Amino acid sequence: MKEGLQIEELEQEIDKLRQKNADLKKQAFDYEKHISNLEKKLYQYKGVIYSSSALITFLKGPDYIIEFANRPILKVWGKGDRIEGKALFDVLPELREQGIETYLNQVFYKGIPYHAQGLPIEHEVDGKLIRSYFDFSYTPQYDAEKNIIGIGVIAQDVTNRELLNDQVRKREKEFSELIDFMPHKISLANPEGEPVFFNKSWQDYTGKPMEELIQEKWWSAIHPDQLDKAQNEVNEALSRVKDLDMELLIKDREGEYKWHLYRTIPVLDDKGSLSTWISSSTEIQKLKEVEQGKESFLKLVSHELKTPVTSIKGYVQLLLKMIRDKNGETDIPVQPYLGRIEDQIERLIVLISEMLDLSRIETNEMKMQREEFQLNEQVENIVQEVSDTHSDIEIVLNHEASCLVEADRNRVGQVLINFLTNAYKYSPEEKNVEVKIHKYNDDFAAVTVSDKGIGIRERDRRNIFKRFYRVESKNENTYSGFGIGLYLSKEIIERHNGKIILESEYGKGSEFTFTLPLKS
Amino acid sequence: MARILIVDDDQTIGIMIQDILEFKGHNVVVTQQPATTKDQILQHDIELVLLDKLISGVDGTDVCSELRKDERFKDLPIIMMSALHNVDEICREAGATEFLSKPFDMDTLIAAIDSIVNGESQN
Repeated sequence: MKEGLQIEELEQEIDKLRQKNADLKKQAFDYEKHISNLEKKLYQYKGVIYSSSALITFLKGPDYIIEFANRPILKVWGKGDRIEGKALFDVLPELREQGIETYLNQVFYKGIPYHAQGLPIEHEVDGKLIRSYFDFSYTPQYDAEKNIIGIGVIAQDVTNRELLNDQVRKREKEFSELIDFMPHKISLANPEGEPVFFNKSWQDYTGKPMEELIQEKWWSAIHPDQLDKAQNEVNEALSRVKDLDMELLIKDREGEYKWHLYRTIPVLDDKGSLSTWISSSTEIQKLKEVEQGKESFLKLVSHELKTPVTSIKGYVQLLLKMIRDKNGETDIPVQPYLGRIEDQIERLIVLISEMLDLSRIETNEMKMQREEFQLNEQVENIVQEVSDTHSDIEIVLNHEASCLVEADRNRVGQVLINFLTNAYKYSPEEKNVEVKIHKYNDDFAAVTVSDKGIGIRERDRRNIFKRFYRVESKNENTYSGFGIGLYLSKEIIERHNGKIILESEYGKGSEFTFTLPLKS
Repeated sequence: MARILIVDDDQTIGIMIQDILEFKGHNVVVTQQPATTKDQILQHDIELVLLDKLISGVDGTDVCSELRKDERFKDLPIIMMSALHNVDEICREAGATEFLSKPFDMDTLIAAIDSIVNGESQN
């Protein structure tokens, strides 16, 4: 009984063992399969890690043994690819000096991950330190018992980005300094026109800090008389997204209004939509004062100077007339003297007119009163006039063409008078002058004045049309005038879309031509 | 011959024009006070006024348009004169019959007055 029981128990035991064996075999099979899967996965992961553009390394133990490093990090380190199994700071001692060890220790001993962005690191490559910038993370690696066994390093080379950022920061700083350094008042506004920035010059001028200026309405500093116009123009610029230029009186910190040239332009972003308004205001107070001073000076010249001349001229003419009526019955040579006085008055009047014309050109006030007329007729009149006043001049007039023009008759006459008096003035000996009316390039009428005078040197030819330029001569007093006659002539002719042509041979004479578009 | 009033604050100009016009046989009155213009015209039965544009403190064009508003003077010949440039049109707009730019020639002045006086007598 006892034996039978034993056998039975043994058989049961065997069954159990068989079962267990089968289970183990199955387990072993599963494990093998699992391991094979793991190997496959590990291989895939390694592939991913190796081919990654990120810099990846795993540092093991307190000595930071390089257990594994992918190709990109090897390349950055520049120490070849046979460094696995070596301690990090043996391979890259320069990193220890840059404080990397502190970061690593913090991770390894305290388990606190370390992340950094744009950290500059220098690597020694071929004996040279090369600076690069990295975004990176140091993360603790654990074993199954949660003990820290090493550090995983994943980094990204962001040198290009950082260099660009550096440049952007540098330029931003430069521009910000520039904007504060400028005497101009610069402000920025959002697309709705609400200000968001005022430079130092604005703050200094108004005596208000930027926050206050931003909160204030922009027009509170504009002179009340200009407010409506300024608001209309600004609103129009805002709605039509266009540039704006205007002169404004702006209040300073003392409450005084000063003239400014205000300009604003819209700035569009890459997509072409409005992103910012840039405005600049430049103080032009002094300029305005000078301008106003000049205007009143002009009035003074024109009124105060012309008035006595008018009176003198009137009396001279009256006396001349009275003497003529009496058939010159007097012993004193009153008539010729008065004649000379009259000539000088005419000269004075011409000088005053030239001075006024010059100012008109500068203030852009010279207006041409165009009318259609026969150029030949006007030239004839002027030649007659000049012949009458200069008895020793001999003018030959040749009509080679009949020319109808649309121009300012008096101004054209003024140019011809200038040419003729120059020809006279600069011909000390032979005062023979030829005036020719002809056609130039089919579409232009031309008047040429030729003399046999002293001629013009090459170097003077370029300059005689400039303001106040006078040809130097041995005797300064030989040639009178302000030196603005030819400048005025050029301005007048160019305002008619014509031009002045000069031909001259030094010592032999000069030839001045002006052209005017023909009226077809 | 005409009875002419000269309104100019510059005495020398006023007297000079007076001398010229009297030489030509006109009867001339000169005033430096533009405010008295109307009174002078009525008092001297003036037929033509020579009016300066820039009179101290007063703009000649205002004097001119003031005269034109008055029914009695709306057809009175007024010659305005000035040493300022580009005021020709302004003066004519204010009602001036003729404009003379200073400094003018004696002959121009006489011609302007003759044409008005003779033109009127022809009418």
